[in-house]
Amino acid sequence: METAEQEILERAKNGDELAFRTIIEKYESRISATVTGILGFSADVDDIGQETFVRFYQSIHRFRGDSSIGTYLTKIAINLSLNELKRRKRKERFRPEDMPGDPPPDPRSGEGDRAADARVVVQRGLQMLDPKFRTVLVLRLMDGYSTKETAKMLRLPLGTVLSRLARGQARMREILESIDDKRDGYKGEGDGRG
Amino acid sequence: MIKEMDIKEKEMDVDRKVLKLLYRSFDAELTEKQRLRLEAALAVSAEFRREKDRILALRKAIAHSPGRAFRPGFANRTLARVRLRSGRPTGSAADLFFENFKIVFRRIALVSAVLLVALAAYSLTHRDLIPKDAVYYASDVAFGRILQLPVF
Repeated sequence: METAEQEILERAKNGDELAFRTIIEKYESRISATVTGILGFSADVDDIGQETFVRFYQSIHRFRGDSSIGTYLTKIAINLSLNELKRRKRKERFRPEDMPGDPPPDPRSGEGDRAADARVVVQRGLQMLDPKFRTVLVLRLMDGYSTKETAKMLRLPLGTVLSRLARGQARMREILESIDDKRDGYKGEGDGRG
Repeated sequence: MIKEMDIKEKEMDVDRKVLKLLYRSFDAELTEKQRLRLEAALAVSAEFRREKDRILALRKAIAHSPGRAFRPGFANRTLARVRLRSGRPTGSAADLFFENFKIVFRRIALVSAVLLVALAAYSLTHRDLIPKDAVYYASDVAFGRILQLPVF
């Protein structure tokens, strides 16, 4: 861990709220990407995000620095996100705010920006993936962890992670092709939806 | 004919194995033997080269797909929650109130809504149980007088 980060961590451990705020602000976007990647754009995302940092705060004195703060926070975020997925499945309730919605408009895009449109489609495709594939794709490709790190964080054998990466990507291809086909179909039917 | 089908199946089997190697090559080290096999397949097959490009494009698209930022004020809300949990109410009174309210409200909102609906339904079907004047703090006579006011 870098010296500066170590210092901030020590201050946070001693109850320095400003130091802990610095940690939150530094890792907020990384955690939001992970949680959103796993849960989609639902109302629970903010709650899970907050809970991630609260759990970190509660265990901060046990944090030995074996991994970086970012990795530790990501592990907490993944566990909370996966628990939330299990909870949704168990309850089998449908609340519109629980269902992943479309991602917000990309501020980089203008009207008819194809790249922005493609990003939205990819994000939608990710939400349609089985969570076990989605999680490895989020960690490996979006968060940038190595395959070994991904396996360690998820406590899975390396072979399983590799298999899920391959199957997840293949499945994503199928999903994206079917989304594309539907869009082309709408355009072809001329029913005003295209 | 059967021999042709067998050959085709074997070819597909080889293709599947090489395709697996192709996927694996992005995320793990291949052995020398695997690397040579994959390179040979890529060298002879334009379709495999296109497949490699498609996988690369997909991985790039996933890596750059938008994550959603938390709502503005995330750090403030998180710190308020931290203080609440650690029993250190040093935040503003408004922060604490809304944080508490949100937590309590979520838990009872659904139960309360169900109870209210049940009560209303029961009240409608058993009119004598809860008299109108108890609910509205006004008797039928008072209602009559109200309805005679000029505004009506």
